[in-house]
Amino acid sequence: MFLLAEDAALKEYLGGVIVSDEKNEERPMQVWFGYPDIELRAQTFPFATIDVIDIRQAFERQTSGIHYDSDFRGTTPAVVGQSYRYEIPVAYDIVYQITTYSRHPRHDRQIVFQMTNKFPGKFGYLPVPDELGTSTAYRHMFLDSFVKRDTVEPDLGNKRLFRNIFTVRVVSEITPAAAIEYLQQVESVNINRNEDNSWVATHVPDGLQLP
Amino acid sequence: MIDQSNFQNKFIVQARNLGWPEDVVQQLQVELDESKLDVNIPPELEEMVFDLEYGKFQEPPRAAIRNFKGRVGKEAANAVIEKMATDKFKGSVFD
Repeated sequence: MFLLAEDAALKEYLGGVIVSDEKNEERPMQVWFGYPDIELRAQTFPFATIDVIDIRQAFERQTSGIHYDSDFRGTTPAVVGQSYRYEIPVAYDIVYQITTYSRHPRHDRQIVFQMTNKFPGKFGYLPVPDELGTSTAYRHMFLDSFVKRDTVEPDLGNKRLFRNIFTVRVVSEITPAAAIEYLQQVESVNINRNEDNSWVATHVPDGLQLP
Repeated sequence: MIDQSNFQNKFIVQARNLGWPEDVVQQLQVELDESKLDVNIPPELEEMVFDLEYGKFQEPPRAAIRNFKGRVGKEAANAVIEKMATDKFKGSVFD
């Protein structure tokens, strides 16, 4: 499903970031959606938050036409003899802000290294499985910007907070609701006959008549 | 001549929709020419604008500048191309 699938895929994709230090060789970076805020309060460092900051139609890569498939874009189990017809989906870009937080400079650098590998400027991709889990679409993904916003928190005894902000654009698409149309596969074909089978066409050229 | 006010208005609407303070919005100036499309930020407002744009700890981002640039990018490019074409043919039979 549009947006929910990308959200889940992005959270899963970020789950593999692990940092280490002299006390712990493996600290996985936890990943949270920006909301609800209560999630943040329960955090231990390092962690990352995901915010959707824009959803916009991608006119420059829009195509049009009719598409046929047997599982309605991976949302319904395929049934022999049935197919689905729908308009080519509308192209959208989903823009995310991914913010990483850490207290330790070494964690910060490890995170930046791993994130820049996960989100290269070009040729990045996000695996997004379909709802049935039968196939995976690899969506192109672009790092639009990177900003460093380290701060010192006076309220917490001048603790350092290392913060990196990645703006990531994921290509996506959505099926217009109006295009949801269920079609059954043709079961039989009547040639030279009316629908009620009452009349047979005449003047059929020689060689093309049914036996 | 590029109509800067058109883009300025679009940015103001975007920032207002995201709840940016009016006094901040009014001090930001959209700049569009052959080399860039950007929002000029007075130095004294940089910290506040960056906090709004990227969020703070426990505060979500309100990405008015990035959204504005992402949405009007193609329109801005067309405006620049149109201006360049107009400049090129100035004084010719097309003028």
